[in-house]
Amino acid sequence: MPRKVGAEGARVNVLDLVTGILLLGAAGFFAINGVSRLNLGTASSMGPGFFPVMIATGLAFTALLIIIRSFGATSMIDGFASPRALLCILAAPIVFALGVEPFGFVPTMVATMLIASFGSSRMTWRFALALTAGITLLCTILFLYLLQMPVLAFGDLLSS
Amino acid sequence: MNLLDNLSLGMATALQPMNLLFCFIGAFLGTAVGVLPGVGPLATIAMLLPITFKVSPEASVIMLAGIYYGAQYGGSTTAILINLPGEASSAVTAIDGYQMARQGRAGTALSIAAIGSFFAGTLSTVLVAGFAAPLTAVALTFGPVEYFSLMTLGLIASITLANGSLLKAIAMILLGLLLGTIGTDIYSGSARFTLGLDGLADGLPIVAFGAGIYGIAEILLGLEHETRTRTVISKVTNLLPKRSELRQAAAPIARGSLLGSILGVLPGGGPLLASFGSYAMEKRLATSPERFGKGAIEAVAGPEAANNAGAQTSFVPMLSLGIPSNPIMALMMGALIIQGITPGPDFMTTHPGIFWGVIASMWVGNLMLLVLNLPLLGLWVKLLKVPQRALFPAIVAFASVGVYSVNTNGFDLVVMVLFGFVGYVMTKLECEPAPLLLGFVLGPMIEEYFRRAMAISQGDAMVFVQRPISAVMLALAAIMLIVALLPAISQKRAEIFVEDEP
Repeated sequence: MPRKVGAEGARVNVLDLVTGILLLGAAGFFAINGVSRLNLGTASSMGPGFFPVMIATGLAFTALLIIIRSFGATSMIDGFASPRALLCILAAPIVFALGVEPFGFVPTMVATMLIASFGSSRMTWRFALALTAGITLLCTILFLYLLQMPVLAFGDLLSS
Repeated sequence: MNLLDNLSLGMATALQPMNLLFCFIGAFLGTAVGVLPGVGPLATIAMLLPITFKVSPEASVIMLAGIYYGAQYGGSTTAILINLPGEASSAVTAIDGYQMARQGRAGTALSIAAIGSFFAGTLSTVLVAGFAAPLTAVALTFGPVEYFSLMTLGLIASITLANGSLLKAIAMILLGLLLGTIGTDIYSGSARFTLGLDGLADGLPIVAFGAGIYGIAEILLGLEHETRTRTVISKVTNLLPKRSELRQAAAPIARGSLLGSILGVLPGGGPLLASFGSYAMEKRLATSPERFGKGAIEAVAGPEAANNAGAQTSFVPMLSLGIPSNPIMALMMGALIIQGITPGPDFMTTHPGIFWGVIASMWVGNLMLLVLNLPLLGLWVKLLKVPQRALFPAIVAFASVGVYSVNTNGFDLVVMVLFGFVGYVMTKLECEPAPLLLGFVLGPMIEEYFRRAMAISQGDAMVFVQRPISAVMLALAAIMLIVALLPAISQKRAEIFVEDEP
């Protein structure tokens, strides 16, 4: 169910305010980095910094407009993903990235699948294991054997 | 070469066994992801991009195109059977299609949707073939000044036609342009905004970026509402429509195909806009509009034809001008660029086989879809019963392997996760990812043309309004922006897209 965000009675669109502030930060990063580290050049012979700084200025201006317009309005939000879902879904690819070379494709795939599976609060061990086995088999055949991905099925760390 | 020669060259390419196979794989996969709610063609294309590097450029584009229009077919099945759009563009199909299914006319709704899509696919293939060449001829006369203005027009058009807050959409485009500048500057060789990371020297990896912002972010959104249940109408009989029903659907299909073809070419247009436009048009033209929402066959036929037509004609700007009109085209262009082919005005003459092959394959693919879809209906219905909790870990795993295998590089996965989170937060903040991706893909090109144009004019920005073609395009962009900002129109925009939410 959508619900109001922000303090009761506050006349500010919190979503827009946050958006504006984040965008202002991003614009600041590009503008400050561009001015301090890159050569701007001139309009007829632009350096690497000219275009980014120009666009960042535009973004900063737009972000300010968003911030100004956020006052005097309210906003609704539709709930968030649970911390568990966020953690599992975002950690799984990182586990794959770190594990695939030292441990090899198959064990890393199993770990990735198991971690991703438990992003759902309704996951059971039985279901997760069956799913992991199936998808790992499928991916091993597809990527390792058919597409010849240049990684080992089982890494050196395990086989030696 | 005339159109017939070109089309026969295209057919010869499309009918090569390898290309036929990939056309089939694409259309099949596309239908499957179209059927599954929460898995879109964009995420699928992003995940499959790495696989396409192993095959020839034409086979890869043929497959990716198949995924795109196949998803339009598949989306309607879900819309009709469970009242959930499998694909955003079939949201309007769900309104009357599901009602038809509840009245026991699911078979009719499905076959009308398929027939409408096929007709639209055929018509728009001819239109793409007919219009791509003249457009290319015009584009060949363009210099950097015109290109800069054309891309600016494209970006502006894409936000005024999209839904949501205009200011935020502008901000997303600018942010996309900035993200596009990350990497090594082509003129000076200096590293820009790379934070000293080697992985960013060639810019943000587009596949990881796309898979994160669409694939991972979508999964996080899907996990918010796990308790939702759906009822599948799995009893489908009478697949062949009656003569009277066909007659009733004929005019809406023809109108939808035409409208969709036009809306597809517009930057920011494509299937979503096409199907909403067609629904509104049919409702206005209907003799008894009160039947709409209660199972009107026109409301299924028109929008389904329109979204397929829109999906196909959105290839025109990408193939002939090198300007992607929507995020899917942007990813497809990314695929071509990685293969060493830059789409643009000279694409047609340098790679006629790919150019006409892709166009011809669209028709072949549509024929496959028509033949494939109705007999395989049982399979798609089964696919609908796959629980969400089985899908999302598989998608995460596929995306991880896919993105990793582009460069055999773990850093790309970090980028994917980062932009998955960013994409999720953006959606929560009601910022759309589509303009961001468009800006990101067009960014390097816009900057290059801007720098070249300014060098030619010796730093005089007036050159953009002194050249007639460029001035017209910028004027158009300005008008679009002003019109979109008018309160009456922006209210209308909000209304049109209010049904977009799945």
